[in-house]
This record gives sequence, structure tokens and C-alpha cells, in this order.
Amino acid sequence: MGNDRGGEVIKGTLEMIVLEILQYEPMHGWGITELIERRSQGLLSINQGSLYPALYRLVARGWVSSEWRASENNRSARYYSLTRAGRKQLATERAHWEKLSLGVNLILGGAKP
Amino acid sequence: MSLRAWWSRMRGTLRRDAALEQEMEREMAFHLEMSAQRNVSRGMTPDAAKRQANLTFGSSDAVREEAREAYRARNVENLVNDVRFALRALRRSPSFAVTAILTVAIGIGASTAIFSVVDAVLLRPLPIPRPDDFTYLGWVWKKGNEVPALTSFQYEFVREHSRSLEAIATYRTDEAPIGDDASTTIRGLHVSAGFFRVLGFAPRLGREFDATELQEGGPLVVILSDAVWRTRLGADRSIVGRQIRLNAESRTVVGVMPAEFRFPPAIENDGYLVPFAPRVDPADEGHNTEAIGRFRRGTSEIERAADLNSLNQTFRAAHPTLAAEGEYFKPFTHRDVHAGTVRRTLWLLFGAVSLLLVIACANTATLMLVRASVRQREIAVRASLGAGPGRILQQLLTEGLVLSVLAATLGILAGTVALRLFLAAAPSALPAGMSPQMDVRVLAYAVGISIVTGLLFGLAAAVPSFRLRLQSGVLGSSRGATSGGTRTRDTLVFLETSAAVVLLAGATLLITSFARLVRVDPGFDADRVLVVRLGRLPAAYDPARRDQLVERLLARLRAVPDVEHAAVAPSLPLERGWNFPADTRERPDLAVGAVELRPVSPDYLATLGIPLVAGRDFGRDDVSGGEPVAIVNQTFAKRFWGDSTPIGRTIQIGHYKDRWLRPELERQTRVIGVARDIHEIGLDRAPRPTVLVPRAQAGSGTPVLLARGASRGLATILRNEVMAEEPQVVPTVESLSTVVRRSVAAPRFRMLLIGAFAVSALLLAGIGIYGVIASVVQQRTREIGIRVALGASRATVALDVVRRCLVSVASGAVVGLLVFWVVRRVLSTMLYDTSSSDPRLLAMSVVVLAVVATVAAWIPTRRAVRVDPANTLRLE
Repeated sequence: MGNDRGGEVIKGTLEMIVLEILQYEPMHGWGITELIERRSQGLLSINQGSLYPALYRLVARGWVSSEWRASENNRSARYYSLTRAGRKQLATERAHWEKLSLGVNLILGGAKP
Repeated sequence: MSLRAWWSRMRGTLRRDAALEQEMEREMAFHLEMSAQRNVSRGMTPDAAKRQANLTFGSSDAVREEAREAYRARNVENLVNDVRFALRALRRSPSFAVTAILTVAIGIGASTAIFSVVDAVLLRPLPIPRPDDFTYLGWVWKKGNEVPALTSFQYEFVREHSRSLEAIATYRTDEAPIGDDASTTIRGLHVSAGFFRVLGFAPRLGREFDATELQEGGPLVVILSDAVWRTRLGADRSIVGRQIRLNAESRTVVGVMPAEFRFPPAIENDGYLVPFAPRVDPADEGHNTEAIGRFRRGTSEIERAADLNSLNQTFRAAHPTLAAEGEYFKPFTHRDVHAGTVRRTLWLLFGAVSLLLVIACANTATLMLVRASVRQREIAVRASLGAGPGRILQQLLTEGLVLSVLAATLGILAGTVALRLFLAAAPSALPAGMSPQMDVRVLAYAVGISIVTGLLFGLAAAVPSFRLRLQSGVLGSSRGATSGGTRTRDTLVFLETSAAVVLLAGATLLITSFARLVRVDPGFDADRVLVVRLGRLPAAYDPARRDQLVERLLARLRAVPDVEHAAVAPSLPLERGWNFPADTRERPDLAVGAVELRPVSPDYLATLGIPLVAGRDFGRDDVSGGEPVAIVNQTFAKRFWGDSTPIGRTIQIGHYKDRWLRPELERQTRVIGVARDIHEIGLDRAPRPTVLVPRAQAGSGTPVLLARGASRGLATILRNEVMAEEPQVVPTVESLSTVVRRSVAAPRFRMLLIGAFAVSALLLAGIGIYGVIASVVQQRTREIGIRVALGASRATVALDVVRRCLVSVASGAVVGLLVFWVVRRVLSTMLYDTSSSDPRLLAMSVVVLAVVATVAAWIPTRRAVRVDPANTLRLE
């Protein structure tokens, strides 16, 4: 797990990341933590606790829904899945993010000596 | 967000904490466990793995708190925003806001006021402990007539033999001056043993009456009501044991009742209780003993009925002369006894006011709908910006609720005022112990209907948005957004008109009936007669002295120059009468169960302006001890003697089942005159057989003085004359026409109220139709312009604009009439000389509606067809 500052998720992007993770299949909180680490190849690490408030916020906005079902090791876990509105939101945020990161990269790239 | 998600969120908010917390705990436990498992699989000891898992999770308390915030903040934030947005939207269109809020406020206010009366009189239990066990007892005669009272003998029988009643008592009402001031009297009750047990109240200070006090001739004691104790005796706690003067007698105060004690018929509970021993007389067949009882706790309906049944059998077996086959004791509820006559009127008013509320709501929903069509673009823009349908619906529902809450606030205030007006205008005091008030129940009703209406408004506003693809409003022109709510709008217009027609039809009938009623000639000349009521005479007046006083007063009145005639009577026509059986020896088969018997002075007929058809009036010689004489009315004469002359015939009054009901009537009476019929008991009732007898021969009680004359200020003169003769008497003087008017107060009240509802309904329906047509015109301006430009006649265009709406109006009128046809029977007992299915009157109400609808539709249509095609086309 990367403990350096660069691995921390920028405030606000966590929710977008969660939406992205959930677009392929419903997943429980622990699974989301693991997937974030795996898919960022360990570059990103989230404060595990803060994942839950983020999830609840997504549920409250109607972008994500949740239900209890059996996990792969046959335990009962709460699975989150993307709603239609969530999918739209993901597209919006992705576009927004691409613009933002492009802009930031341009600036950072341009500032390079 | 889907509607389901929205709903689950709302629900979640309502029962949030417990379930939410639990789920959160389970979820976090799962997470920590999985995390620890992974640590173990990476080679940690179980303890270390757990510690590490907790560490990476962070402070679980902080997470919990944040998670809770995440759940709630959003809801509250949304709600606050929605409310703010709704208020802003209302402020942006003030004319819409004012119309809608006023309309709904009137609907909610009026129905809340009426509901509070209905609740108090018809729904709420009696304010006594275990009200379900409380009962009145009465008697049913063979023909199905019933009375909620017993004879004293029956009362005694029930008291001795009933097993399901734990207590039974009787009471009678009275009024008496309290203290030294003889001019103001208070109401009170004479109560028998068992009274306190039946009602379930005990004095809050002191004690109940004891056995000696309840015996006839027992010690003079009194129990005061809380109100009297507070207002007249300064809430003096040492009052018990002291003496007070009541009706010029000194009585020892033994107790004070609690403030919650409110037993009818003491309408104003400013009363007193004195003990009373009912006298049991087997010969007294008058049902004058009010019997109240309390069933034993826990007895079932069946047990009670069975007990009454066996009571009936025992009674008939023991006293076959007193109970015929098919005559029996019957329990009556408080409502049977005290709300019987107003019940129908109240349900009628409640039904009418509910219709008005429906119209007000339909109207506002129409307005919302029209506005929503106009706001189509705004909504579509918001939708395309990412607001889901659920979110938009939530916003619209919030708008509806904000509107109805504002309206309800105003409505409840208006309702409080309306209730006061209602009570002030009501023809008779409401049944005692049933005084309506704006309390929690009524407020709950008002809040309930405002929530329901609010949601309806929101839904109405949402209809066009969900009928249409949301984007079209953005992409297309405003024309694209027209058809969305059309059907809903038509339905609302239909609903409004049908409800309005029901109200209009009812109002037309009531108004016609009332107009016919007040045109009825009562048969006497009410305009020139003044009525002088003496009120309660000072206690020193025994019957002999009272009669002397009446004679002196009569002489004084006759001496007034402007008085043409003066007379006395026990009571007035249209107010109260005295019923007695009457028959003749020759034709006992023609016996009348109850004739109006009025002991009057000479000149009674002349004073009231009732012509004497035959014979003579009473004279000075018709005195006590002289030959008993009577004047009968035409109805009486016709019944017994047909066309032959009644003069000189004899009749007997008060002779029933071979017994005389009153000793002073025990004789044959000779008919000396025939008076023309008058409407004795009501303008709407046929004249009854009536017998006048000289007051000197059969009078009793304090009579009413009547004086004929028409000069200004005569009332004051008469009043002063009485007070000059007896300063302790404070007479009230009024015109006899006031009495006549009062006798039709109930139908007038119904007519005015239903009429007001109908007029409001008509106005609202007009506004609704206007709004709908106006919006059609607005949306189709361009099309109309084109058609006019292409040469369509303006009439064709106009017809096209109004067609849909007028079809809804017409079908609404038809259905309204059908509905009225079904419920018309409700009115039939309230109509005089008017059929509830009179086709002309029903047609009239439809015509009135048609006129209003046409005017309402015409105003905006005229604007449409005057449109200059060039202008409208340029607008696009």
C-alpha cells in the first residue's frame, strides 16, 4: 500500500472512482477497496473508513443502490450497484475529469523546464 | 434517481436510525473481517491481523458519524432547497400564488369549520368516563313512535329490575337566581340518587348528596359547578358547609363539581345540582322522566339487549294495561337524544363543504397543471441537467405541499372565524356538551386534507412532464409541450363542474323551498303584535298572586293608548304548545291523540288577528266555576262535525283510556266558537286540531302577554309599564314577526350556507374553466394566427378553442345531475312544497352553470380570435 501523499485520493474523486468500479458488477465495500488498489496497481489507496460515507452519499443521491446478498465466501454482505442515473453521472464526471486532468497535465507539463 | 429510490429514501428518513445503524454495523464488521482475513493470508497472526485491519480502517466512530451525516444531510438539504425553490417560484407568479392559496384556503377553512361541528356533535364520545356504558332509556309505542324518556312508574320499574345496569338516575332541568340578585338566573339540575354513579363524576370538593338529602323533604343542600364556584364565589375552598341563597331558599353547599363535568342539558355549565326524589305515580302516563343509566363494566351488547328484553317481558306480564304487545323499553345514545334533529343537516353541510373542497382542489390542480405546461421548458432543462424524474417529482410535490401548507395555515385561521360565524348564525344552540372547538382532532383533519391536496397538486403539476419525453421541451418549440396535461385538465374541469352542479341543484331546491315557505300566510297578523315575556317571577309569587299580577299587567297594557287589543297565552304559536287528547262522547272513534290546547284570555283572537268564523269570543263570565267553554279551530270542527255547526256541542279534553289526565279538565266542555285555522306548529305544517279554553278555567304557569298596536316605541312603553307594576320583573319585548322568522331559522340557515357553498363552487368552476381556456389560447396562439391568416372564420377557430373544455363541462353537468339524482333524498325532508326531482329547478341549476361556463370561456376566446395573425407569426 502506498503510504506516500501521492497515493491519497483527491477529495471528490473517490465517488467517481467508486462509480467507475461499480459499472461492471455489483460489489461490497471491502471488494471496492481491493479493486481500487488492484486497478490502480497499488498507486491509489483510500482511507478505508471514508469509503462508507462516500457510498452512502452515492446511495442518497440515487446513483447507487444497495442490497444484501451472499458474498463469494457465503457471508452476507451489502452489495452496491450502479443505477441508471449513476451511469449518467459517471459519464458526466468522467468527461469533467478528463477535461480537468488534461488541463492540469497541460499546466504541469508546460511548467516543466 | 428513480421514484422507488426516492420513496425508499423518504421511508429511510422516517424510520432511519435503528435499521440504518444496524446495517452499518454489519457492513463494517464484514469489512474488518475480510481485511483481517487477507492479513492472515499474508502471514500475520490472527491478533495482529485484526489490529492491522482496524488500523487501516481508521477511527470507526468518526466513520459512523460521517456516514450518518452522508445519509441525512442530503435529505434535509434537498428538502430545504426544494421549499426555498417552491417559495421562489410562487413569488415569481404572485397572481397564481394568490389565487391558488386563497382558493384552497377557503376550501380548507370552510371544511375545517364544518368538520369541527360534525366532530363535536356526531363523532366525539361524550366527555364522561366510559362513555360507551352510558345510555338513555326510552319507550317505543306500538306504532313505532318513540320517546327518549320514561313514565315515573316505568323508571321505577327499570331501576328495580334491570340487571345489566349498575346505576340508573333521573334529572330535570331548572333555572334559579343565585345569591341575592334576583334578576340573573343560572341553569341547574335536579338530580336523583345514582346520578353521580351514572355519569362517573364525583364532586372535586366536598361530597355527593347522602341518602337523607335525596329523600323528599330532606335537608336543603346544593352542589355547585366549577364555573359558578369560580366566577361567583371566588373559588373559595372553604365554601363547603356554608349557606348560599338559591331561588330565595338558603341551602348548604355540600360540594363543588370538577371543571370537566359537563352534562347536558345544562347548556352553559354554569349550574348547580340539587337533590330530587322522583315521585312514582302509576296513573301518570306522561313520559316526563328522563332516565339515564350506566351499564355494568364489561357487559356485552348481547347481554345488555338480553337484559332489556327480559325486562320488557317482565314489565308486560306485570302491567298488561301499561304495555301493549309491541311496546318496549329502548336504550338511546346521547346522540339519538340530543343530535337527532341536527344530524341530517350536519351531514348535509359536511357533504356540501366537501364538494366545495373537491372543487377548490380541482381548480387549483388545474391551475398547477396549466402553469406546469408553461414551465415545461424549465423542467425539461432541469431534467437534461441531470435531475432524474424522481427528483423533479419530488420538487413538484414539495411545491404542491408548500402551497397547501400556506393555504392550510390561512384556512385554519379562516376556519376559526368561520366556526364563530357558524355558531352565531346557527338557528338553535348545538346540543349541550358538544361545543365544537379547534382542537387537536380538528387540526389533524385540516393538516390531513392539506397534505393530501398538496400531493395531488404536485402530481397534477407533474402530469405534463411525464406524459412527454422530457427533452422535447428543449428541442421543440413551446408547441411541442401542449398536449401533455390536456386529458388531466379535461378530467379536472369535468370533476369541478359535476361537483358544482350537485351543489347548485341542492341550493336551487333549498332556495326555492325557502322562498315558498316564507310566503306562507301563518293565519295570524304577526306584524302588528308585540310579545312581552315576563321571565321568572320572584319566588314570592304563588299561583294566586301570579294570576293577580297578570290581570293587573293586562289592564295596564290595555290602557296604553296605542294598544288596540291585549291578551295572554301560555305560549306562542310556532313556539310551543300543550298537547292533550280530545274526543266527543258521541264519536269516541274520532278521538285525536293530541290536539293543541291553549288556555287564553278573552281577546286572544282579536289580538292576533285571527278571525272568528262562528260563535263568540270568551267573555268576562267565562270564569273558573262557570260553564266550561271552548273555541275550536276549523280543522277540529271539520273532523268531528263535518259541515254541521259545532256551536253548542260538547267535547272532552284530556280524557284517555277511561281516565282523566288532569283533574282541572275533568268535565264536558261546550263549544262556543270556531276560529279560523292558523299554522300553529310551523309554517310548513298543516294546521292541527286546536282547542282554545279560557285561561280562567284551565290556565297554569306564567303566561306570555300579547299586545296589538303599531306605534313606534311601543315596545319600550310596554316594557316600562311592566316594570312600573313590578320592578323585580325584567321583561323582554319582541315582535311576533320575529317569532315567525325564528321559526324558519333552520331552513334559512341551511339555505344560506348551501347557497354560499354553491355560489363559491360556481365562481371556482368559472375560474377553472377560464384558466383552462386561457392556457389553450396561449399555447395555440401561433396556430390560431396561421389559421386566421389562411382564411378560417373566427367563429370556427373560437369553437375549436372551446370545444374540448365545453364538452367536459357538459359531461360534468350530466354526471352532476345523475349524482344529485342519487343523493336527492337527503334533501327531501328539508324541502317545503318543492320536489327534490323538480325538472324545471334542476334544469335551472344547469342553465346557471352553463351561463357561467360560457362567460368564463368567452373572455379568453375573444382574445384569441382577435389575434392579429401577423403579430403572432412574428413572435416565433
